[in-house]
Amino acid sequence: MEYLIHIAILISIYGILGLSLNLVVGFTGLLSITQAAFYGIGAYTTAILLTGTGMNFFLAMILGMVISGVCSLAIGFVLSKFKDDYYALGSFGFNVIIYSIFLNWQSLTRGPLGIPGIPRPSLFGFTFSENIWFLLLSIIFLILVYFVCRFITGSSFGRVLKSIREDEEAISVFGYRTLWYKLAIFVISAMMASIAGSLFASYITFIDPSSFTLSESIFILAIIILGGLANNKGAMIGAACLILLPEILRFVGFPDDIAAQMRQVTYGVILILLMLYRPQGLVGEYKL
Amino acid sequence: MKNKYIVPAVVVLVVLVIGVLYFNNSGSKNSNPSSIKLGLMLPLTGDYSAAGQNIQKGMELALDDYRKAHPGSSITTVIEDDAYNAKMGVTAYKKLTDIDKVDSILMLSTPVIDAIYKDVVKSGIPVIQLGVQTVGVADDNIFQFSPAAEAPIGFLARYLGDNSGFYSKKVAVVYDNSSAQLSFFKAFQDNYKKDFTPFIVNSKNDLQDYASKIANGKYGAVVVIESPQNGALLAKDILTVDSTMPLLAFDAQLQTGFADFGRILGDTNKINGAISMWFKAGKVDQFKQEFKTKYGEDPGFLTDFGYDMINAALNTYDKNDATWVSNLKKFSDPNGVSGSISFDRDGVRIQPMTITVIKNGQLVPTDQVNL
Amino acid sequence: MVNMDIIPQLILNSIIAGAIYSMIALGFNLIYGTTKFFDLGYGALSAVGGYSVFYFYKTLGLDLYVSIVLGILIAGTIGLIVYKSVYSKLRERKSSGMVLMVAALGVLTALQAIIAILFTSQFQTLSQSAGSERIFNILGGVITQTQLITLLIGLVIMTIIGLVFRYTLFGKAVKAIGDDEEVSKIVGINTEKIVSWVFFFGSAIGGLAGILIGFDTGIEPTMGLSLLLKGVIACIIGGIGNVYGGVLGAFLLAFIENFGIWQISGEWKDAIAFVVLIIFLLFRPQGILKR
Repeated sequence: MEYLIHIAILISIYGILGLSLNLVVGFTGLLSITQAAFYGIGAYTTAILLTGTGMNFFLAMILGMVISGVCSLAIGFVLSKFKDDYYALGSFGFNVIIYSIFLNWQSLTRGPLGIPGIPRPSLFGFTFSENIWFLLLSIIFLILVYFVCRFITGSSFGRVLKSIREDEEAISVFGYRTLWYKLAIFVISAMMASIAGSLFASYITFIDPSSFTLSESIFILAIIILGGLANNKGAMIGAACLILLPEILRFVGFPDDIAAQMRQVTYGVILILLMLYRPQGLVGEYKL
Repeated sequence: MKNKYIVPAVVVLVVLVIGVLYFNNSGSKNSNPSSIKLGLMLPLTGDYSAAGQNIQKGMELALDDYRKAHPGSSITTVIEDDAYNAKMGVTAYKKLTDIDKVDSILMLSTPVIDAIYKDVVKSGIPVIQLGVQTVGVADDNIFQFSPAAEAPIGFLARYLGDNSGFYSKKVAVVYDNSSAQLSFFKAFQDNYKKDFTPFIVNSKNDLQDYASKIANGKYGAVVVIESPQNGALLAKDILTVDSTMPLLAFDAQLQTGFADFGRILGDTNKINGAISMWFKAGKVDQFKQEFKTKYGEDPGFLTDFGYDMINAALNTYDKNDATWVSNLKKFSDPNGVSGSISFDRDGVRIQPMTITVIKNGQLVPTDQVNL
Repeated sequence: MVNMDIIPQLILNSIIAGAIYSMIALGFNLIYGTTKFFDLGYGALSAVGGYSVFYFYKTLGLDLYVSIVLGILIAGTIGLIVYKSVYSKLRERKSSGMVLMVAALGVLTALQAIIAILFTSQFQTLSQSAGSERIFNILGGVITQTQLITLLIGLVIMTIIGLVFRYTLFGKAVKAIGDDEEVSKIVGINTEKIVSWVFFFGSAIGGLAGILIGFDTGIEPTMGLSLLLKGVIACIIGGIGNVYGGVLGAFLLAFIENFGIWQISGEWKDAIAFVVLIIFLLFRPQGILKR
């Protein structure tokens, strides 16, 4: 069961990431490709605090969210000056910059050596060292994040976001200060990604910069496009699919000497086919 | 396909997957006691895939040789990709132990062992790790198949630091911003007591600029702690800019990857006089021959280590894990292709080292080098 | 004490890197300018070009120039095939840029993996042995014959493309499609055919860039993505949609990168490049040169 529990934990973590990105990309229409940066900030904060000071996991998670929130406020503010495709590029840029910080601020993050020995969360004397309990913890956070997202997107705040997506100029004419809304959702999204990062760091017990690259951000984007933009359930289903797909491919009998690469080829081809035949995503509402 | 069918379809898919997994592999913790199941967890995609593929080739050759020498033995392997990444590695590890129920795991990636070592110790199966293990090194069932960074790099650093022909020149140290080479660099820094200037390489483009800097900055000596191909590119670029090569000193990566180095540099005679760390190796010629016959090319970086890892695992095999581990602790083979094989108290490899000089484009071991 | 002797060499290094980046920028500019999506798969075509030449020149031993021409053609053809089988269909259905981007991601993953299967992930170099190249001393810096050729080819291509855009009907059609595809169709331009050619040429140029990198340093299957990013940055800085802009941006980027490590240590190079990019986007979002 260990293997399945592990997959389920990964699905929960990426589910949270997908939900968080969906708020910004799917509902507000901002093409942000830097989610891995906030994921990483959450992970590194948790890792450094847990290994350096023995702080409680949940406290460290909150601190991670604060730091992520502050960074995202600054980044979101700069990004708001960009239009459309330049927004995406600017966000790429921030991802690379933050990745460089993880890699090169070695006195803090130990750079490529990474931070090993991150302890599991403990609460009132109970430690989540068995993976099954950690799965429970992850699922609880996933459900929490899901309901927060559902609340946001169903509220009037959410309606403003969707209007920004559809026609920002129109709604600002009505007196809505769109900048404030865009920043708010960007910060909320970053804080959720940070939660996922904290969970990730404590679960794997070792983190290094290679988990927070631009490719990771692209992967998270692929999750929500696959699942269906602007659909909270879709984000979670997309995460499940993109995590399960490579695992299923492990059991396809490719010849040993090229198996790993053949799986990549198959993965790429399936992505292409999915886009060709189901471009609105598996449960998409937002007709792209 | 209608929307409402999607969610049930996914659920059915997930159930199918679970079913397949369990029927396929249930209870096969080696029901056949005379057969061995090895898990090979290597970086086969991503930045380290060249190394992973090489190790796999060396391992396959070793398996061929073993099967020929022991007809009737039954060895199966399960190969999984960890992409030199902790998350992928943990997934691969869980699959290998939970689903495939392998008897032992042979692996390379440092981030992965750092993430899984507690689980490995709990499982008790012998795990042979090629890369450095940075945390939790102890007398347990994890064996590190390369010496701790301190040993060879420290040796090189002290050797160079004792040679005025080297340290009296302006010294540059070039290394990659990667976990393995960063550890090597730190070991160098701790052991080389004279001045030097570090150059950190993030991508291959940097090599050209550093070569310019080194040539222009009149550095007379360069310590190259790099993968063979980066080392070759650096040497090539320095040669282009400055026909008088500085004195080069390489770490042990050059030896295991000498074929790759030569392929990229072109003519190894260009670096005659360079110094390198060297592990005294065993039946290398035979290995090279067999490798060339099987794959049609010279053995590349780390193929020799892969070959030896399989042999170490198979020659110490015992169906009882504790006995197997204990056999490995006591294992000694002076004729390993990558060098003499034995482990210290913490399961870290001990290798006798010496300094070599490049003469006529080949690595020639020597005890005395006049710089 | 600042070492001034190194400046000529750094300038030369920058010019060479700039020439290569400008080729990627040109190809990407062409494709993005007409189809308006991030073709992540474009980077893989550089690897296709490089490995084709590796196969013909080093493995089969064909003549150098024949190999290069074949490499360019193969890169262009594969780019065209990918366009026809994937992107064209998606565009017909008016799929959004994001869907195309994910499809492009699939293309990138698959192509890189196929190359790794055919050639393994080993780093390979196309050039001859070290030190056997002719070198030229220019104003205190050194440049090899290959690098000089790279430079010249880059300049030639830029000029050709510049001329094509300005003076031929094809060039004008491409520009028109970039401005407004719907209107172009109405006016009678066969957009599908033009875009197909754009993909062919763009991919061919990308392949050529990969080939030149192969001669300058070397090739590996995963070389595409980071190369593409450089090209994209160059386009943005220089001005998307403007041919000369991409080139200007490429050289600027190359200079920033190479001079960046003159004084600052190498690890921050990428971050610096992006900081500059972001500053550009803030103060001059349309890039240096207008469309």
